[in-house]
Amino acid sequence: VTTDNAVTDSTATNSTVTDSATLPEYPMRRAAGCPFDPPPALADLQRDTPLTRVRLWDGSTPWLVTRHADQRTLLRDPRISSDNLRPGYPNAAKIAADQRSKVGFILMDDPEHARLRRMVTARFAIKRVEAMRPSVQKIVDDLIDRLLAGPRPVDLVEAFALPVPSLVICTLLGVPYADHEFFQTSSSTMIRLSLPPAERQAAARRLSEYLDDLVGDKLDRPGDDLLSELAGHVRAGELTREDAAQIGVLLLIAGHETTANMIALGTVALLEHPEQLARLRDTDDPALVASAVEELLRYLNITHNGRRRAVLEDIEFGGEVIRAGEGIIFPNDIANRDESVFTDPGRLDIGRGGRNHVAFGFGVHQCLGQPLARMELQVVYGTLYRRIPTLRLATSTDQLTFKHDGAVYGVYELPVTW
Amino acid sequence: MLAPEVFDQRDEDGVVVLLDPEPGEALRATVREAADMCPSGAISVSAISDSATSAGTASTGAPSTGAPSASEGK
Repeated sequence: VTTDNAVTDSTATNSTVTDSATLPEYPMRRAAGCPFDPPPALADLQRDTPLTRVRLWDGSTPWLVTRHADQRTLLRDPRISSDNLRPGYPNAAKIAADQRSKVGFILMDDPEHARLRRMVTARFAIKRVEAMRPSVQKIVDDLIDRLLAGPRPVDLVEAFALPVPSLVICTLLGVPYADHEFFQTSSSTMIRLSLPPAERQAAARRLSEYLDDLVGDKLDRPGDDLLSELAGHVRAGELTREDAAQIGVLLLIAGHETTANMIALGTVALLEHPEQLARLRDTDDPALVASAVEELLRYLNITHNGRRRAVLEDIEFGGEVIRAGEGIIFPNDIANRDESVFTDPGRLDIGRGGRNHVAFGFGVHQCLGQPLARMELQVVYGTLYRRIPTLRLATSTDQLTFKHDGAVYGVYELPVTW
Repeated sequence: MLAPEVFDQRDEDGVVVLLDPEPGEALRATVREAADMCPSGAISVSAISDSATSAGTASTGAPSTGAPSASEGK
């Protein structure tokens, strides 16, 4: 087995050296003036081929799967791994040599991934999430009251898009919202890929220490929240305190960054498509609001650097063999614009409605929080534009700073008025 | 949840449970969609061979081997 691997490795390296310079670089650039669309070069790749090699920042040349059906097939394949310390894993940026960090369970494989994940799934079950809807509605209504009473223009990111999911995830986890400036700043530093690795790691360390302290508090004084449940698992010897803190970091970041960017970027997209905004604003039909959420998830793809995996065993695919020890990237943004699945995929149509997009990923790592994200976005999109029907940008779309360098895409600020 | 007549989630850990292993014809399309959308591939649907009018049998994998959980969007 060892010999076979060695042969495979050297073969892969040789072909890599030959082709590497001509391979397309990934991630690619979006076109100027098209902030909602995947990069044109990625669309070209999808049209031309289901599977290709690309070149990453470190010179590695993982595979990239371009099409929706193929992504779903392979993301369900047990021969791929999410462990970013495995050979061939296509990391998005340099990781520290001493990095043990398995931010929660997203970079783990089953069975350990499933064991840890199942400790937190109950709180994100559909019925539990639906029970939170009235309290989320109140959060949204109160923040809009404050917007309407406050100065104009205002940064919608700061005043609304970030507070909504931050308040919700704080309540669910048992994190004091009073600390929001600290955790929002630390988390946005962590996922801003253009910052120096040392700065990002320092932010990650601060958040880990913060969550570790909170888990310590919950060990002493448990409440009715998820961190207290994790502390319970620590007390029962089923979970290390370090893992409990890391799961807390994961859920805190994932719980506010993603939804906040969907709120702000979704608002930009709707303002750019006034006929779609009018349909959403004028409807009383919760099904149309839910459909709008799915369509904006499909259309916007705020996770825009692809799902990444290492290959554990050779996989025959489309006439090629993807070798053990190689990497694969699954860009969900281009899969969600696959015209064999979505008619006229570049068009935003809030009535489209299907839930077969891969904005939440696919496979065993598919987004844990998706019922919560859906519910929050349904409340937000179903409320904000009705309550502020004349909402508009206080600048122009081309003046906005988009998060091209973010692990999560969106806008850094969104000045609006009404 | 796509087919609440057929699937539910366990309260304690959100793991999907099968309520109706032989859903009727009216649910055929929805159950097929659920199987297609299942991120872990734990749902399989098969027609009952001697009945042209049945939607078939849905089953989920054992929870310990990766049945879809709360978050996994049925």
